[in-house]
Amino acid sequence: MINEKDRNAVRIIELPSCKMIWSGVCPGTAGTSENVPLRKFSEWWSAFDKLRKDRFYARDFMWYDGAAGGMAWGLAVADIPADTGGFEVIDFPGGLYAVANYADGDAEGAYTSINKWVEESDCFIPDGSRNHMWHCFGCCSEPIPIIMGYNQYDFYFPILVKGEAK
Amino acid sequence: MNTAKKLNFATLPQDYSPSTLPEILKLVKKVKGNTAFIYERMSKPFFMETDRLIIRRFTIEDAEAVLALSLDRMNSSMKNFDHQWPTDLEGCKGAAAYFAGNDTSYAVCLKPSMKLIGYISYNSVNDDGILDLGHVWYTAYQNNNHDTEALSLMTQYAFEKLSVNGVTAGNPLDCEEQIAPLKSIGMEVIETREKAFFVNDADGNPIEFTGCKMLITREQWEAGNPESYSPKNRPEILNMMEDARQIEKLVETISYNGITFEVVERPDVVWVGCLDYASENNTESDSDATLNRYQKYLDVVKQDLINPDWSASLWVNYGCDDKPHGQMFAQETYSAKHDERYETFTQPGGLWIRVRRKKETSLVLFGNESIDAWDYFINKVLENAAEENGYNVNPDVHVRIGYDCHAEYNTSPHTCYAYMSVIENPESYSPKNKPVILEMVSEASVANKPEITAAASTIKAEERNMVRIMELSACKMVTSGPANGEDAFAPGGKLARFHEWFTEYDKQRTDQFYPRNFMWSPPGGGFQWGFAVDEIPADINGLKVIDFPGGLYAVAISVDADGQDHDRVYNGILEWVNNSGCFVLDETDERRSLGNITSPPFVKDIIGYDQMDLYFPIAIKEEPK
Repeated sequence: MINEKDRNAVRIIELPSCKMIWSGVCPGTAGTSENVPLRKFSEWWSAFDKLRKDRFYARDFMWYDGAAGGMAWGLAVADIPADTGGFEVIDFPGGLYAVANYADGDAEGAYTSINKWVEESDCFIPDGSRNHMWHCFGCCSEPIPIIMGYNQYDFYFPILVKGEAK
Repeated sequence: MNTAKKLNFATLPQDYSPSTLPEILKLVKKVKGNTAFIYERMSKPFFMETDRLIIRRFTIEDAEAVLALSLDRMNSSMKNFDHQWPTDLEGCKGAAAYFAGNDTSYAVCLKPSMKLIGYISYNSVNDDGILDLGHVWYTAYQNNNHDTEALSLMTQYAFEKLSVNGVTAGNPLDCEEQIAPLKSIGMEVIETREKAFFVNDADGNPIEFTGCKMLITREQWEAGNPESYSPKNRPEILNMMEDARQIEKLVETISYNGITFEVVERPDVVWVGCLDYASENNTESDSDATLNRYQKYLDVVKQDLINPDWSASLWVNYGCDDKPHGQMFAQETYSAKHDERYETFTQPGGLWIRVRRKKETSLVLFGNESIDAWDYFINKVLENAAEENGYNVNPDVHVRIGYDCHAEYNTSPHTCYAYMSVIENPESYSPKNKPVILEMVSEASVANKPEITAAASTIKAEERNMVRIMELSACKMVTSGPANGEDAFAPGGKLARFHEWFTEYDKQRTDQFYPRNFMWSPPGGGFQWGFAVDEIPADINGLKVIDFPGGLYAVAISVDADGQDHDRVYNGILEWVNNSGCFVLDETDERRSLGNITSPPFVKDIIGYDQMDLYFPIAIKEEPK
């Protein structure tokens, strides 16, 4: 069971399996400002996302693909659009995630705290078959990061229910 | 049927957003013939004008006109077959304010009286890029004429500027006058739906009708409007290529010093005319002699010209130290064989940046009124515009082109352009296209604060993760209505009925990302539950629909049904907001604190509780003056 003091430390969120349009793996660990392929994907999905009438919550997720050795960025879609900007479509498996928010530059802190929470939960275990993901959230039209002085991110840590076969 | 117009565009400055009717109407000008003039703002139409119509954004001053339209509608064939509009002035003030507050609702007015004769809405765009178009029309003008013109223009804009793949509309199948203009612009009925309803009769029974979904695809639109233009071929291209065969494709429009430049993709093109090179490297030829020769041969036929009304000056090898400079006066041709008195030169294909040469543009870019193409090159305006927008001058193509419509020489000023070859700069980034998310993650953007009126943040580093700041979009919500008393959650009660409806409806949602139901305490107390929707569902089981205002919220997770935890989290949010320095609490009758269960239902069996995000409405705190 979850300790009472830890109940609000992590959110348990289920993401649906869906199609995802993605950048492909972009070699290296550089973020968007230095990584040209990621920037090109960012350019496309940002424009595409503006067509979405439903502005509730962000749909883009970024992850590091350790096996392929690079960063990737994907946009979850309910239906595959006719024009994917030349980017590939993949099947996003979805699943259960332990999620916590963090401010600029502290993804590692978020990872560490979620990992500890999952270990101590005694009801969830990490799911090593899926990638950790993160995204900037808020969908804010106002310049909130500038006003607050930092950006907000959610870190998605893939988990399984302990004892349940995947 | 061909209903497309020739579109001319202008962009309103970002800091100019007229919101009163007199200010907006200052934009009116004379538009003649089969032309429409469109002011855009933030990449959306702000004001459209044809020779007899104005299509503009609403203002709160439109309340009485909205009331008149609404009352007329109540006597129309659409009376019971659509969402109901308020029929009192107070309600219409709210409706006008709502229309004015979004960039999807447009008022259609008749010139010169400016009488409101219709309402058009860009309702939504689905993941396939299909835009849903709605319209409400004054019956006196529901004549397959004014309505057709306005709907066609909005449809044309959607295809050409919003790059949609199709435009759809849902209406009662039997309301001929409602669907006639849609048929006229080429929409076809692709689906009918029996027993649709929006309104109940006096006995509470639904007034049913057969609804139809109409659609026109991009292909159908382009086939029906061959002189309409694809999104890539923007208006500037039209001015130039109106009567010409198209050989180049617009890649993007960019801005430099407020002037519009275009990046186009050109194939290899053969130019035919007179070309002379200097006798030595890095020196110039005698261009006057070349021009004299070119003019002397004007009667000598050039074969298969691409644009017979256009001719050009080409500067070749300028910028090269190891080649003689050359100048050519020529026209584009499809043919490689020409009279031997002519020279030919193949201009390499690839990306080219171009700008229309005009006095006003020259003044902005280099401070005098010269429209001489060479002045555009010598002042490096194309280089600078390219480099500021993610392109470099092509180091392998040393050709500059001044392209002029000589057919317009007698109607000054004639249309003319300057062209230069460019390549994409992979290490650069187009500010125009810089996505919002990149701006958000850019450290520089945080360091270089723009001028904002928000008070300074005092959020401590260790408290940054305590509360999330989120924006919920304004939308429609299907709601239970307020439910008071101990029976609020009783079987058969409002909340139970709502729960029953939305859990079923939610299964139809193709996009299952994150729950969409929110609960709050309405001003009168008790509970109210709402489900955010993109479009109002046809079947809402008698539930009500409200306008959810959206806005900024301070959010934190809590344990559902644990009052103590709820209070602690709630108070924690309030304290965080009050100490933030940059936000203030903003709970009003319209914007209530919300609760939203975020954990999937089965997780409760695992951890023993549901998790609920608490949303507290906030606003940006203004800097003290």
